Amino acid sequence: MPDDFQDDTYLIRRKILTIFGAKFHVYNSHDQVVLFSQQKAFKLREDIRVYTDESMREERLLIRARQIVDFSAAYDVVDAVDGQKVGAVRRKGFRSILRDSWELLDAMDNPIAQIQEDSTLMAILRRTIGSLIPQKFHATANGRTLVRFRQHFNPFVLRLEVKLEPGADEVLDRRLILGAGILLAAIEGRQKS
Amino acid sequence: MPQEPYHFPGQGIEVLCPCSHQFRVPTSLRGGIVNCPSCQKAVDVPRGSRPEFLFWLCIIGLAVPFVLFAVISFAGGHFTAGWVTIGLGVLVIGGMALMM
Repeated sequence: MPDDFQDDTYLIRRKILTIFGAKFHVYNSHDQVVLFSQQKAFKLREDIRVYTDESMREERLLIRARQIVDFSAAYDVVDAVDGQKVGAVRRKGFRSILRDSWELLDAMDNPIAQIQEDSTLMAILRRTIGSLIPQKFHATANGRTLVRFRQHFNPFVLRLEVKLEPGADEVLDRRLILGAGILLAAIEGRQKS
Repeated sequence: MPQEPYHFPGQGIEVLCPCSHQFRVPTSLRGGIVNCPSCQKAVDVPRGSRPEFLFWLCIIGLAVPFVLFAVISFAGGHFTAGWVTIGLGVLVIGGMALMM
């Protein structure tokens, strides 16, 4: 794993006002771009290629949906450098109606952690008021919070802070955490834009 | 011979890795990506026939209203509306087919 994934805090920035598709920048705690992705518009099957920078010469991660139409969509996350799948992120379709809920799976498709919106009340308020209340998610395993995803309020640029708690990488692969963050920004962000 | 890592009931889906190793995975991984138990590299799981069925269902579902509206327009003597509907139908359905 390269050094650029060793930070405990990342910021995912998604430009909403891009005409076709969306652009994502992932910054480390030193404000350096460690990942970049350009999401294509009009694609029925989500296929997000993540590169090391804007030149898009070196592919770093591949995030791909398993099905075109799937209520509980699952997205596989593959490390493009070593060519191995690191895990998957699965949206819990029914549960997400009221409160966004995702599952993190290991490379063998076994559930290892859950990502949930902070509270049902806030989730309902967000669905009624719109994007005025920024979203917050926690990734937890066995009752322990491993990662916090916190959206900053900005109507034009989606900014999602990803903060790893101490010991999070003992349970979760950092590449999977960043993949989940990019997906949250891409999927959840698109629902609100 | 590498050990098969997936344990599941039923038939599953057969995956053939470029390293020539053949193995089975649960149907929940259809269209997804798995690591080959032999070479450990990510390999695509076949999507099977379900997306093809969905594709045709979408195309037919979209085509029916366009055809109906065009027929009604022509029957009613509204030829411009009929041709516009056919043009729009070709654009929408063709676009859908290209995206899939």
